[in-house]
Amino acid sequence: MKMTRMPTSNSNMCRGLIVATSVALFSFTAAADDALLIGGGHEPLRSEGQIELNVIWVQEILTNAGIDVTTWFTDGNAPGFDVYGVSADSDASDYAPLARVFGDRFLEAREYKENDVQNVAGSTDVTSLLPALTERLNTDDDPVLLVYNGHGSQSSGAASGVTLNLWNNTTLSARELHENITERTAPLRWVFTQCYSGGFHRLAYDNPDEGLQLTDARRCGFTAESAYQLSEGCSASLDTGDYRDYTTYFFAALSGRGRDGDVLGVNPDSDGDGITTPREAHFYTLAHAYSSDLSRSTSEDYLDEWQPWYLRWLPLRPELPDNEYAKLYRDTAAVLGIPLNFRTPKEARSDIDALKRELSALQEKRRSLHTAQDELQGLLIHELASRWPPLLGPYTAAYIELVRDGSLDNIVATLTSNPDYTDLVLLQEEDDQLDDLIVESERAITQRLKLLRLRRLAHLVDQLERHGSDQAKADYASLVGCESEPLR
Amino acid sequence: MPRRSRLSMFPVFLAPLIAIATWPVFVACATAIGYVGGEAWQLDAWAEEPKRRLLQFFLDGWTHSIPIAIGVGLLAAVDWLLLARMRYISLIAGILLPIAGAVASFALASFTPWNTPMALFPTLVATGVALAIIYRLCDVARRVID
Repeated sequence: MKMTRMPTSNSNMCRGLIVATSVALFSFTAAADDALLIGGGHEPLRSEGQIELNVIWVQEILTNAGIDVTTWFTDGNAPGFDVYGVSADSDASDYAPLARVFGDRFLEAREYKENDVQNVAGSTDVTSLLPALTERLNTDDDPVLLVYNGHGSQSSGAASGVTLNLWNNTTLSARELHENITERTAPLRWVFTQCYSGGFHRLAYDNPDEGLQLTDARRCGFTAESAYQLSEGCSASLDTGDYRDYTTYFFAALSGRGRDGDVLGVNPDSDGDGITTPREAHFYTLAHAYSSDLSRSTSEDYLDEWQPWYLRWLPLRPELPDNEYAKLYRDTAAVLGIPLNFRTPKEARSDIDALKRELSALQEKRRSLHTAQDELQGLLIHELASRWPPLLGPYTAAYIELVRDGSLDNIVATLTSNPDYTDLVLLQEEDDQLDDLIVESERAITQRLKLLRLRRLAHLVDQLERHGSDQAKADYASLVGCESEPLR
Repeated sequence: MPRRSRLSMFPVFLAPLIAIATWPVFVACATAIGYVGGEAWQLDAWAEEPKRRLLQFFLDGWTHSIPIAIGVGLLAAVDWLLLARMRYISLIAGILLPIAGAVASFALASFTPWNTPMALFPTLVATGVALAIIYRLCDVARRVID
């Protein structure tokens, strides 16, 4: 099964639709890989509806491609809220002013619900997920694509200590997963999009903690970030309409369509063979993702780790080698409007410094805003509590009585007529705008870091060709081959 | 200790000192050149990766470079024996270190997969100059003590 055939002309959308449709029809006639899809937050308060939408979208793409998908999501099919959405109008409730003053106005905008994911095999609680995952991976002889959409935590030690944050606040580290799938001999590929996801590249190595020897089984994958950085999903704010995580771009490239269903304007099938491989999808993401993710593949991780001591610390040569990363570098520089010359890295770094200063100023301004908000909230709470003391104990009988006798309406009316409240609303709206600016700044910094990283990868490929042992070259080629294998 | 004995002991002190300093000085020079050019792994690693990882790579390089560092230390001692003790020639004492850096960059470019000396030349020559400065400072200190 071919994941997709993209239109050869970017401008010819109708033709693209016809080609995509014909390939979709064709795709059902071939044999399929297996996909294991794990998703959701680790508790209702951290289970964003956007993750659920991602899981449903990815599930649909893979299922439509004829791939057998097994899905684990939050609490599985257990009753109870496990996902929250965000109301478009956080001031819709009559009591929103109280939330602005007393509680978390973001919590006020939340709408909790049960997940809408179809065909859920079970919960992601590690006590049930790990045995199921272990059995499936160790007994399944078909190639498997493992996809995770959720949260992750950093490791204070080796990169393999990074974890998936699973339901009921349980965790599964890259090292634990590695230790549990030692019997697996069939190919395994993965797409991990959580914070610190890069640590999961250690699944490809014989020793999860150190060394460069690859496992006998073919393993490779793609992650949104390195083992040391947050990913886009953990950005300052999470506007659902502006969610640009790794999944958004990677699976759009694989399917040929964006989340909105539109055919992509650019063909991710870079070699024009009619098949978009996971590696091509990753390259499409590198080229087109305007997000704060500095995504990477296992082969790129291998290059980073391989670099010998006598090359690592040397400045890179000004001349750019001729390879696919160099091409991506040139394309990215053009998109960013940075002229290509020997000063390009320096200019990119100057931009980064300027943007970091701007980001620091924005963060400082946000801290000041928070302090001002806290002061106003304190004043308003003091005034209200002087007249209605039960307001300070929202779980007491006296408070319930306030609710029952309709006093809350009076309180809200008193509150909204207070000039300090108007000031507070203005401050909070300014805070929201600041969040957007901070996210934008982070994304702009990442684009420049990506430019420098692509240049470095271009040099690393060149260095491997020049200085690498036969074994290192073979290992790298094996990883690239694994990443370039189409999903079937 | 008589002055003559102290003089003969100086290369024994100088060689290990230069050998120990070789890797840190190399890293410092490479970082400075990388900073000027805007491109070096350590610039990004400093901001993007844990410091313990940087330290680990630094120590790894220090360990691996010991044989080369010993050679550089011995070269410094030979340079001192040949050049530093004569009145006029002593003005150029330490010159063998940057020259060795330049020669090494061209030799590596000729006989190894580094096919362009400019990949190494600035860093190795700068390292040689910096080590020569350390060596001259040690020599000045020796003279003051004497």
